[in-house]
Amino acid sequence: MTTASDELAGGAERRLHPLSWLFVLLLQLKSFALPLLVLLFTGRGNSWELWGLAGAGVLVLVSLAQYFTFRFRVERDGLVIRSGLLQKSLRHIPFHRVHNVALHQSLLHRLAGVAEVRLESAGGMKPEAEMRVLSLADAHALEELVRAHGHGAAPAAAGEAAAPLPESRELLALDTGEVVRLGLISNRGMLLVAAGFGVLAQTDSKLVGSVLTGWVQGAVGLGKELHLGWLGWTLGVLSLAAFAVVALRLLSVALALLQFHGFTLVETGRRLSAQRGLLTRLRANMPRGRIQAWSLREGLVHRWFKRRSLRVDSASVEAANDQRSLRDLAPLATPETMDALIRHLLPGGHWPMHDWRPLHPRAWRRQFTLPGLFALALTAVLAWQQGPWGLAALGLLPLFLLRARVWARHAGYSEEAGVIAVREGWLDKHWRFAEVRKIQSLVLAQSPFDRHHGMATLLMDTVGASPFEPPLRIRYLPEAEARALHDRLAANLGGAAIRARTAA
Amino acid sequence: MTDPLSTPAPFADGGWQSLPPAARRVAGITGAIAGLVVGTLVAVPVAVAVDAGLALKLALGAALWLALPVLALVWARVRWRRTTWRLDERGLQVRRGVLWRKEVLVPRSRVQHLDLERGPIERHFGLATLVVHTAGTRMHALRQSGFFDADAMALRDALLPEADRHDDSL
Repeated sequence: MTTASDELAGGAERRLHPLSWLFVLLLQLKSFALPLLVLLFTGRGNSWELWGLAGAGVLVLVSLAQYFTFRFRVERDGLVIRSGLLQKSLRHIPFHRVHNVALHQSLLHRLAGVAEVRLESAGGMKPEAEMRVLSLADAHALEELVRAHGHGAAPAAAGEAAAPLPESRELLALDTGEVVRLGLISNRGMLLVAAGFGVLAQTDSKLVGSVLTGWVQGAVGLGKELHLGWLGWTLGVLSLAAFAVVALRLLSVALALLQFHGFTLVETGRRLSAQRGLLTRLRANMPRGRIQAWSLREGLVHRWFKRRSLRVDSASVEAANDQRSLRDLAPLATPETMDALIRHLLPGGHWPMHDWRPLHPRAWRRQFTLPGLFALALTAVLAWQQGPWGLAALGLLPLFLLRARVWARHAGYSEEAGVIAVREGWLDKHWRFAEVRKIQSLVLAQSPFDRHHGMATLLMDTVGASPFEPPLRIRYLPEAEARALHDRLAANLGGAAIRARTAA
Repeated sequence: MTDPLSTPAPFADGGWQSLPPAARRVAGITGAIAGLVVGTLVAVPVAVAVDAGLALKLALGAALWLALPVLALVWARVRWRRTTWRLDERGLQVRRGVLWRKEVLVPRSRVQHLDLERGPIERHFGLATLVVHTAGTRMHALRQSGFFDADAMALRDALLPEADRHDDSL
């Protein structure tokens, strides 16, 4: 490894892997595949095939041009990339700005012994650099270089980049049983099926409709033929539902195995790296200090298996919806392991929080009002349509009341050791926390309802917060407490900048 | 341009400041224009669709057409009255909102960059809009219109991040 990174840091300009044009071509073919196929299949008997071939030829030329114009050079403190045939670009990427080095190896990449490398920095919508593809040795060498620079003082000369690195420590590894459990807990299969239906509905809505009605008609016809009683019908429907649930969970397990097989989280010095994937291997790297906010989740099924999931936000915006980032820091672990892991990684090392403070005493009412009104409206509609049977919907009220009570009992916040944490949820519990110094701005908001109850919401904005995670905010705080907390946090945020200002 | 550090800005005491009366006029004008556009879009179809005599049609259309701009104008004035801001050692704080009230604090150390914008109406009244960008997600920019031009520039200079700031928050 050291020799490889020495060779890479030699200062000479380098090209990508000689096969890289092939992978670029494959990628382009993927995005052009549909139009090309349409051309090939719809234009029978015309000269359309030729056009398709010409298109493919152009793509080959473009890929080759990309390969021949893309050069990179490793300098002392950064990477210089020259690219472009007509519009040339020269880009300098300092190593210490790189937050994540992501390695991506599909099955094909693994056969060829190459990897896609992406360098990500804070806040960018696009990665700083995308190298498609590097030989595996070069990719690892580049990873090492970034890791060495991220690790405190930059080495004096490029040749010394291979200074003894701190040894690696495995923080978490998932065996196959754990990954199967992860599949059972997460409902990835459901998402896939939903996405599949979406695509089908978009391409040919009639097809989906006819297939579905065909199935339903077939099932109903079968039921009629068998002269089922109401018990038979109930059993039939129930078994169908059970079959659907089992099939979805099996699909989820298969997906989890594909994505998370052999998951390991390793710590080298201050850098974390996670590796996973059955066919496509992914490896993501991130300095520990770049974690912006944390979210710990324990759903109902999690609780049955006595497990929790941990995800983190990093500063690169794109990471939020990208597979390659280190979002899933610990996809699944027992609560004890998870607490130990968080304690190890969180600066200050204070977790779990001891002093959870409750919300406003009337917070449960705020959680109850809306569902309660909904239940009443539903009852009114049903009673109007179905007669007295509709009153059964009133049964939702105690359920919603229980939900609000449980929610309010669990909900709370805590501010200890420079970390602010919020917890919410009833069946699906989650904890969201961040270091106070990572907060970017503070918002104290009051809706008319808040003002009526003397409450306020405190929203703490962090970098790269994923839209799929609950925001870092404390709802239904007593107003005075919210203001006190706001001022306390604000005092901690000013930091060094204040002194410089007032001195001037 | 004067050096903001040597000449103390008028808001150096860190108290809550209102927006200048000119801002109320600008807010009223822009509100009324927006109301007029929406009002036209609403009033014309309603007047055409309603099943009544010509006089009633015209009256209803005119009422709708005028009601929305007036409403928007009143709303903008209330909003102006409720908007206050202050700059203290912590950072820039803006309070605003009529029904849903908000108090946003952007700490000095979290300012990424700043924009000054001046629309044609604002320019006419010598006002400017200040946009304070942070690295955050939901509140990645705090945008407040209706500052005096000089105030906005002084605010910008006071909030400019130092060149040697070390971004340990990222």
